[in-house]
Amino acid sequence: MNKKRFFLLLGFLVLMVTSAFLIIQKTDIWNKERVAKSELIERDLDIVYGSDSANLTIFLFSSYNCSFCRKFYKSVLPELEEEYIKTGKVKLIIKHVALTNNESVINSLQLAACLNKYGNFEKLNELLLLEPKVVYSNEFEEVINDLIDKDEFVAECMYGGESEWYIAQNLGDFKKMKCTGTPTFVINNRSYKGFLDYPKFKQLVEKELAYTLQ
Amino acid sequence: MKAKRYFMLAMMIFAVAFVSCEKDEDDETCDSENLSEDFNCPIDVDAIATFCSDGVSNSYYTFAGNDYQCTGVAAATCDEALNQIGVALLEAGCGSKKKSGAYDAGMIKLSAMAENLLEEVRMNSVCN
Repeated sequence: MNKKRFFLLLGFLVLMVTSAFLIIQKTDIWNKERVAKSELIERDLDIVYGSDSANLTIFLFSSYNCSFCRKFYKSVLPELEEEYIKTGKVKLIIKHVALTNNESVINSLQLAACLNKYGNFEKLNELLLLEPKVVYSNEFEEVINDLIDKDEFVAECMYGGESEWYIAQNLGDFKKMKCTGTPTFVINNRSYKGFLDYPKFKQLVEKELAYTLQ
Repeated sequence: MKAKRYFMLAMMIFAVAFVSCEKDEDDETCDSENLSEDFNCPIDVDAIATFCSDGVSNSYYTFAGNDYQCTGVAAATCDEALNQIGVALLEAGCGSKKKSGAYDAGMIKLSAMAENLLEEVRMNSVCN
């Protein structure tokens, strides 16, 4: 084989292998699971279910505007809570991300974080899961103002920079982890994008639990 | 010698293209949204659109394989894109145009259940 043919063949082979790699990467199989390049940490304003002594920690990047995140909270979280969180096996850390600059959306996430730390977050969570567009209404803005007037800690959290910084940090973490959409779960430093129904999510949890307990 | 030069050139072009593609993907964040309720769609119509934003200057919706460009970085700048998706949804059998308008605060109509919950948030979220 002469030199010219060798280089042409080599070039062709490299081109084919790289193209195949790119095509596979575009498919769901590889996008579902990615090894994260940096490690996530629990922050003070995170919404946490479960105990510190749990065997497995699951981070969830979530947004109320994302219908599949809401589906996760409604159809997967209750069973996950019963089977893994209440039994001390799993700790779920929710990080809300605002994938928009819309002030109403960001305010609602800041309020959720502040109420989770300084008040009662459950009713707000229920409301945002039921009707996320509520955040654009005048009534919602009035409620934020009422809560701020009633509680100085919530007021300080909302406007003293704590929650603003927190939401910005979440978006920073989201990007640092190379996440491209919500919901994204990060477990054992591997990220899984997209909604999974409970049987599939359970399989994932079992796989990661087995990995942790190795 | 010539073949070697062509080979090197091809590899360089390919490397540049590869790096450019990677960068685009990493800078963009996307979020799925079910527009079914907003456009009164029957359950058999797939009304899931994806909103993507690069967080700097560009955002767009993707629906049924088509991209609908927004005018800015935020979802609030996507009224025209949503109107176009609305037309596609109407053709697919959905009932009417977007209920909530362009997220105009005065036009947001809350369900009775949401109004009750909102009141509960007001009353029960912090100590008086």
